[in-house]
Amino acid sequence: MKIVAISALFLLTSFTGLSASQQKARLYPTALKTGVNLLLEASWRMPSSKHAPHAVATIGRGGPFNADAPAMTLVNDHPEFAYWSALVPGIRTGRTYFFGAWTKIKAANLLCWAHGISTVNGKDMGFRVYCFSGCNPALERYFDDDVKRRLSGDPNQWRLIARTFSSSEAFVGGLMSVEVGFFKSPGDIVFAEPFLIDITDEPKTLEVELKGSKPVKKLEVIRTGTNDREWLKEFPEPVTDFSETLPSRTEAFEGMGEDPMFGRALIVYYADGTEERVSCPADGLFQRR
Amino acid sequence: MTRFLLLFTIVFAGSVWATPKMTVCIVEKDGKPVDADTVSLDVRRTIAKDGGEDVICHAVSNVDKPLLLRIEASIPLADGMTHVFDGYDEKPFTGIVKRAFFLDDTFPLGAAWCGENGRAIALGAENKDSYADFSATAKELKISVHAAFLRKGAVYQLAIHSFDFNAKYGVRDAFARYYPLYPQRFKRDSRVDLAIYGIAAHYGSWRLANSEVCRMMNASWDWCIGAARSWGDICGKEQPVGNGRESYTWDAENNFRDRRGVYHKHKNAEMSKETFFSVLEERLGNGYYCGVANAYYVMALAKISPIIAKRFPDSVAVGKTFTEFGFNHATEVFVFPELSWYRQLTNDFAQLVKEHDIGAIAFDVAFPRGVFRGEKLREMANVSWDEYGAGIVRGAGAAALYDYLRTLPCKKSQYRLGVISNSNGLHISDKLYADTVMAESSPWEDRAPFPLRRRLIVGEKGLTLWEGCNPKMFAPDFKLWPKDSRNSMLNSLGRCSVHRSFFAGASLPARGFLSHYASLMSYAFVRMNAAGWKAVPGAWADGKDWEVARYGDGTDAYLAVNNLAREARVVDMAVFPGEIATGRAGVASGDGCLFVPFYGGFATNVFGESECRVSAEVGGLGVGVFENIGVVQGKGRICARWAGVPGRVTLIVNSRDFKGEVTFKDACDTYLRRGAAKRKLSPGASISVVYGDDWMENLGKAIRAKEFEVAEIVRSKDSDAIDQADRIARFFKEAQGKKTSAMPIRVDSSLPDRTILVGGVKLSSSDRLEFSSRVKRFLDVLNAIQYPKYRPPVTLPKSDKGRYKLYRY
Repeated sequence: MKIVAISALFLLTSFTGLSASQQKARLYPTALKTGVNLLLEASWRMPSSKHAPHAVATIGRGGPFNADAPAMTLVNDHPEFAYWSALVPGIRTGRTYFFGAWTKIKAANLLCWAHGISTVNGKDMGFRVYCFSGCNPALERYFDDDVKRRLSGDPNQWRLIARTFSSSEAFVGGLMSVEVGFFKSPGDIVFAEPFLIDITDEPKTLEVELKGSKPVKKLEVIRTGTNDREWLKEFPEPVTDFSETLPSRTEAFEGMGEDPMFGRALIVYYADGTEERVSCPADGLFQRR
Repeated sequence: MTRFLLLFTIVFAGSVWATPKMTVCIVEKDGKPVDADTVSLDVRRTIAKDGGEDVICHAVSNVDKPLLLRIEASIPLADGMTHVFDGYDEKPFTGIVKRAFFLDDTFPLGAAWCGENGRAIALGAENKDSYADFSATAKELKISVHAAFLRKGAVYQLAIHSFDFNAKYGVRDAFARYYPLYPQRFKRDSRVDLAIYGIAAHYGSWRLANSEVCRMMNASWDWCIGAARSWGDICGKEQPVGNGRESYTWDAENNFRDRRGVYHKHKNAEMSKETFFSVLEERLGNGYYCGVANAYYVMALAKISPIIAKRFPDSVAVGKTFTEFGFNHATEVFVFPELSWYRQLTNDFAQLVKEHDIGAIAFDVAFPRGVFRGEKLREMANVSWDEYGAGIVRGAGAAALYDYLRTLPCKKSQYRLGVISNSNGLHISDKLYADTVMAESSPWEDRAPFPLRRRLIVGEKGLTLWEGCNPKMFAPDFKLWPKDSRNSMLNSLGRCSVHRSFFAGASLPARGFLSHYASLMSYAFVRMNAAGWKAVPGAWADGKDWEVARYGDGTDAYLAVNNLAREARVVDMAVFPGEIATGRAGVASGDGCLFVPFYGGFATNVFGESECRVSAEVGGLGVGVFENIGVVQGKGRICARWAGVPGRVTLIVNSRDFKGEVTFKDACDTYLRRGAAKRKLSPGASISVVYGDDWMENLGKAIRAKEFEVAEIVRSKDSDAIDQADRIARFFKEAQGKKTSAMPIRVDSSLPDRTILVGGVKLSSSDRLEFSSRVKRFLDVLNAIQYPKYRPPVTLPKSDKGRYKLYRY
């Protein structure tokens, strides 16, 4: 395992990089703001049993919300597995948890999973979420604009990858291991603000957040793939700052953990006629093990 | 004289004595000289006709204590080298370059060049080395092999080669120069069925391959029969032990359809021992189901059941092994000839091939990078070392096993067992010995120029990709997309797949990549694959966003040209017939080649004083496949294209301003030339050359006849006829729509074995593979003539309609 401390400048650059005007638009479950994050002080390492010399992790700072947020930059130069893990104590039985992170994925297949040993039968119980980057450069020239739009992949864009699970059985020591890394692919991953939150009692709503200097005339939340609109906000006078909790009919965790998640996207319509598209959660493949 | 030690024995070879260019020595791990009394190093040199050197080093320890040494070889470089190849990458030469050979798909050949002047140094492909370091400086190329000696008399023997090459195509000519040194490593083994080097069907296990999918994608082998009972149980006969008994299952599937058409379904995957062996016998009683060879799936090289492993303690892993993680329920083992597990496997496989009709052994979980450090290491030759001490990589042992398997005759054919290996990229040791190597990736999952590195490792042997076009990998709600968007994405994935496939000669497994486009292109792929991928392209395209690959030499040659742009464009290629004829870069062109598009359309061939050129339109994101149809003497321009119907195709050749002579080749597949081979051409003239396959021509006429109608399928009573009749019935069911009744099959005991009558057409042969081939070709032609709308899924885009026309079925 190689972990090298780098300056935060690199990650800050990534973090602010939606556009030159440092515009930030975000769509995310409210629980990320309100819940207690059990991974906040986690320490990540590559397990010796899963040694992958072709992969490198660089610890730094910087996420989509603030420059001091913990982050790792993972680079794998080989189409093989490479994972890093952190231990999470304090997992309670009979609760619903939400785990994941903000990511930027460049031509990589990402796997994040949480697992623990059941006290009932001693088996390793795990919960996985995959995200296969639709913006793989190898396919860039092959996909037409319609497909690219539907996949809404952008290596410079923060994506939330996450899922829920229920701790129906107690885990040994109340301990889980959260692992993140490459699922048989090379590529680059930025993995920021990882979280594992007990959402049992948390609101099940989504947050829309806009900050920056570029005026926005309209915001829209759609279901990716079908392009069905779920929410719309129009501004008679364009705005640069905005935040709102979406109505509770928009279930933030719908489909997570059981069925494939239908992605959502926030479409930002700028006053100058341009548009941005922000995906949340990521257009990935979710799976319960 | 310094303490630096060498014992030279110089052998003259041929009539040329050239000043030795390679320096060879043996040193300590840290590079210090080795005492003369410690290790004896015998170096034998042979000078090749082109001035290259082949060196055999034989090192023997004279002391009874462990030694971790390096055997080093270096060659000087001329000043001004601008590019370097480190076994993995070609790149500008900007300073010192270092890389470990063998690991991560790194080939044991390093080179440097400037312009067309290249120099290379390489380890022998049959050394069974584990670790070696390559370095390049402005002055020299060097290889340093890790050699461990654990006792007095321990031996390390290896071959090292150095030679100059033509760097016109970068390092490619160095590989073309190197491959013939080890034909058994880089050319197909004629004792092994060619089918094993072809296209994989499915991941079949107990299920029979889908005959229609296999037909459409020209599949010729399949992974079959999972080692379901326990890892390492090759023949299915390991005895269960007490409470640890392992039940008889079939790969966790509880339903399948056997070759009698009987559907088996159980509550779970378990079955009785008797049923298990009955089904095994039935499944493997015939080595081919509709032309798809059985490749018996095994996991026994690296991890086996703990119950079995207990009986082979000398083969179990000790110490730091570097084996990939996962499969923790199994015990890690090694296969080396000195170990008991190797001996068990050789006995098991010998027994297996006597009992069942299989064409190859397909190894999964090969883990060639794992390092053996057990006690028997002291008995082995070519022991290496890493930072954890002495050891040998698992792939070196697997290589020996693969060689052994090819000595075993198949039960019901004239072939020997082939070997297929899924060993991923961690160490190349066993890839040099497999017949077909799998790269367990989809075409877009690895950085460019994937899978070219894997292809360079296997030479002309088989290479297959895996996974497939699974759109859910990109979008979980894919099925909700509009149909046009779905089609667009799948076509895009297919385009990328075929590009990667044709550039590096990597076959696309039938089930994962099935589409109309991939199906059409598979007809060219099987022909090119049979001709063999060649390292030196012998052609290049002007402009950017083109890739050119060559298959076959001389008049067996094909050029595959990838158009990486979205729009259809005309490719204009410089072609070098001397290179195409010999396989080496820079060989002066003699007679020209006449290239014609395989899928229709014109190609313009230009023959000049000192150059030949070929130009033709290639579809957007498509592939232009051009076959060499003859030898040309003369100058000017010729346009050539195919026309015709199944069984009778005509090569139409127009001379724009060409004057000279063309000698057309004798046959294109099963189509034989009719008429004279040598034809003169003058400016403005046109000639037609007919190639015909009498059997196919009569078949086509019969199918087109008004009275052709199929009401039933009549077959002989043998098992091959059962399979083929089943296959024909399946075709009709798919072609006519699922709501139609199944085509009735009637047995006529009076028919000779391997005979089928359908619609008045008789399909028969005394050879089971030819019988299967005739049925396939019949169905291909029937599909094209009578059921043109019955096609694989994923419709071709409108821009490609009519662009890919198949002539020779």
